[in-house]
Amino acid sequence: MTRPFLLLSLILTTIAAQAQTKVFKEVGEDIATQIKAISQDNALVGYLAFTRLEKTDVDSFNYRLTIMDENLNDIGTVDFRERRLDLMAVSFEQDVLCLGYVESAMAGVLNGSDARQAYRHAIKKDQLLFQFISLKGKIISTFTSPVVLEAAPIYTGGWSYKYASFLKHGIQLENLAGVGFAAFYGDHDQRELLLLDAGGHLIKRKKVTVDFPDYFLQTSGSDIYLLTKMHITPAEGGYQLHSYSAADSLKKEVVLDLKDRQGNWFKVLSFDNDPTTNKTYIAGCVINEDREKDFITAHDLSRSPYLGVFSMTLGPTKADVKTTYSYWTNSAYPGIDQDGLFAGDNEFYAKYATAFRNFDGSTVFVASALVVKRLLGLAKYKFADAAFVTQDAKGKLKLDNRIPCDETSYFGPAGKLDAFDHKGFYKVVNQDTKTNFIIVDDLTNIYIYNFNNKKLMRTISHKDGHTIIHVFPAKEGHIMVSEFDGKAKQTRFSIEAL
Amino acid sequence: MTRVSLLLFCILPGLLNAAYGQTFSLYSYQDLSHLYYQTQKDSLKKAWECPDVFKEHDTQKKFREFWDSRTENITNGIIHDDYLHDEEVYAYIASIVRQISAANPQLIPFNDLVLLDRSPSVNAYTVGGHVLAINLGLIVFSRSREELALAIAHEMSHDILNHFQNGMEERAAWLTSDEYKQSLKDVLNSKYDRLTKLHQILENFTFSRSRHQRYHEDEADSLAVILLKKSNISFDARYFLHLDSADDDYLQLLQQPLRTYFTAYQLSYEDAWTTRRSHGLSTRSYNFSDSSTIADSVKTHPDCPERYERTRRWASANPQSTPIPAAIREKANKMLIWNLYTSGTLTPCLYRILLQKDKGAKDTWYDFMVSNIFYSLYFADRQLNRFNAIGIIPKEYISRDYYALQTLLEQIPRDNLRESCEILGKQTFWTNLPVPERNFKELMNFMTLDTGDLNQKQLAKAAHDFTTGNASSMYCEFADNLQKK
Repeated sequence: MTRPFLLLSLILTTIAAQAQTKVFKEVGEDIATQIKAISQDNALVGYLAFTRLEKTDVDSFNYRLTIMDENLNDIGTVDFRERRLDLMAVSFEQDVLCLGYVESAMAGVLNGSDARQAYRHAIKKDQLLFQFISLKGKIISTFTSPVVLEAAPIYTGGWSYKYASFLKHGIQLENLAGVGFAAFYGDHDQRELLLLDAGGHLIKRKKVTVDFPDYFLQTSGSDIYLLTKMHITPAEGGYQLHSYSAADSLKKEVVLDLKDRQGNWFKVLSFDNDPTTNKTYIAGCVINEDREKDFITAHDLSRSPYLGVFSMTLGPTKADVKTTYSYWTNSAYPGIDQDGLFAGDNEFYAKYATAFRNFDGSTVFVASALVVKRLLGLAKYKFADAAFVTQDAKGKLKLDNRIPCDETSYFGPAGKLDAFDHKGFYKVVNQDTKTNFIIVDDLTNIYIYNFNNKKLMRTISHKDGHTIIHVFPAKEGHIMVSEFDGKAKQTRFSIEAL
Repeated sequence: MTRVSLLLFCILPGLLNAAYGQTFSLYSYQDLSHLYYQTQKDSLKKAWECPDVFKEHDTQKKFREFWDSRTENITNGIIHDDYLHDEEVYAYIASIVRQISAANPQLIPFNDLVLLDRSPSVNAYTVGGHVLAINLGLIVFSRSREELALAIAHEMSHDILNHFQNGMEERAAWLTSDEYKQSLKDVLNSKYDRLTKLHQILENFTFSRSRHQRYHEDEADSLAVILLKKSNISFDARYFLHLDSADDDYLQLLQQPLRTYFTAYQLSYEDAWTTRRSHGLSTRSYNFSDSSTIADSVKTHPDCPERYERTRRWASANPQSTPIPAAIREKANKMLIWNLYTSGTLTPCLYRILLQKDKGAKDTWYDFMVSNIFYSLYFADRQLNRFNAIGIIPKEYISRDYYALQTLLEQIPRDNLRESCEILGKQTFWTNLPVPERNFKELMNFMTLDTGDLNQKQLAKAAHDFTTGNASSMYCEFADNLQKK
């Protein structure tokens, strides 16, 4: 029941306890570990530590996978030998773990001599490697597919360089309930969607014809969605949705530009699954075409860069897609003016950061409140609260609540929003109690807010004496708290229920 | 009412109070090793002067490192209160050691330093230098004085045969040998399989050590039988078979449904809290080939059935089995429970209490500890540390009741946990408890039910106030830890 963090130290400290010699240090330096969360149906089900132990010949390495449950208890290890691997994605379905790697003598970031040696002597074959591992610890299957990697030198000072080799679009992997896995990747030549069963067999591969800078994969039941983003003006828009279904082996492709009926592009804040229906949805802002470049400063945000918000429930066909719009430019909502200003004692503009679906079907937009103070025609701004704005099924928009968070000092209209807004938001869902929690990770404190009870549950300071605290997502309804004790130079992890 | 009965009526509460006083005061704060063994710790450092064993400078240096680290381990154990010296349990153990020593004066011409280790693991050990440590876990586990005596005699045999020092000498010689140095150089010079090669070197070394150590274990078993025979203590080889179940504590089932133990305290209980809601891997049926199993070749001890087979011919004809006095066993168990509590592992602590209740324990000290566990769990929750306080163990290593209990402690909503603390705080048993326990409750109340934001200074002050007012209470250890945080 060793913790992953102890895994390496276990190997090395036992050894080092016997004698402190150069060899232990050097052998230790060859060992590298990556920790990944294992997810299924968008929920974290465990963790995986992928350790490169040693080089075994000019091409190959010995690896160890340590698989842990959602409480960080080890449930088993798998040792194997392969060429150089870069683990990119992990998913879980039908009691099978699927790991997506890039396999190449040059994969990852190599120092100069390693890169030269690999280039001169190793097998020059770059490919994707999908590994399928059962809960008995057996590698039941592997699937490979050739790829072309990008390469770039990284200047590290003086005469030294490192060399990075990478996929243009890294592997994204999602489980498909009852089917297996959907994987997306893109290299120099092509972009592909792969449909694999849980036994590791390729069901179907489909070329993604559009070549855009960004791709985001999401699945719901047997539906597969690929949200792509073009490099266009407006910079915040240019999203296009490609929908497929595993049920017809990816035969049909539905393509949808994310715009409203007037042709205004959408800015996507959230691309996720509804906790009640498990249907995929997209939520975000409708971009004001006239102000599409004005989203940088406080002054910009006060001049209506967005016309409203939208939420879109997806389905396999265009007819299944249902979009709800809420335009504040129509002055349709009490308390919200046509520029999106929330009136009241502490009037503010909402800098929308994310959105989530509530259990009652409404969509909640989460924002940093940009409080505005006007004096003699001059305006000054500060970020203070986190604001929660709900859009019901009919599109009615209202300010649900705002909670006090870290306050910035006042700044002028030219103040860049991203320089002052330090809030990070993420949600934690508890399916049993049908509760949505929002974690506001601010500069000084972390705020945990129960949206359904409208209650600020906890305020955790990032710094407590000589301890630095961070909070990360964990299993359903929980957060992982890491406490780094600077004095003792150790980190304690705890998985806490909300 | 006669005069005698009237007298009894007057005296009885006093006697009961005295009995309570005895029951509750397991030991005093001053019995913890950092205070009790302060002098011995210093004299141990002086007395354990490293002897000159090797002519080679490097080997002697390495040997000295091992020697000094042994001294440091023991003295650190003393400083960190790994040991304690109570009146009854210690005396019971010491009497066994004395009996064996007195009957074997040629082999044991010295006085052993006997330490009572607070660990729950079923074990005893020696580090040489006539230091013997007996774990509380072993005392609670053993079924008879004779069984306990076998474990003690086994460790005394190691000490007599100088196994620990021999082991240090062997390690020093190996780690400074040309063969070992060359093999490390070979690792460094090799391009490939460096970790595997390093493992092989150490495995060879471990195999060699384990082979020796297993030989040592056989020797110690044989000598232990002789020591016992001379001491007129029965030897029964079946004790080795009993040792095989040493790790089964948390695999035991409870005699009552879990709900019963909670409702007995009027605590809220919902079956849903005991059912894991997670969809995580812990709930799946996994069966990895167990990489944690130690290969037989590197085991330090022979398996228990093997030890039984090897020694059964020496068993006493009609082995006597003297039960360990109930008071000693119960006290050892309570000390063990308190130690689990202070080290912050609350589920095993609570489970052991429930197992005691199954055995009919009515002592209110257990009620006091149940309250402390709930208070501490709620405090841990406030400190974002509930997960570590529970110490979640995978389902494969525990009984379904233990699993249900740990799941409940994980999933019981915060408000119910607070409510449990409040309910327990109002129980009638508190009125019968001595002053230190009641004062301890005040400290726990302050830690948990105080609605304000607790800061470390306030906590430290409350803990300081407790230690000032209850200077000799064993509970000062907990307060001490709070002050150190």
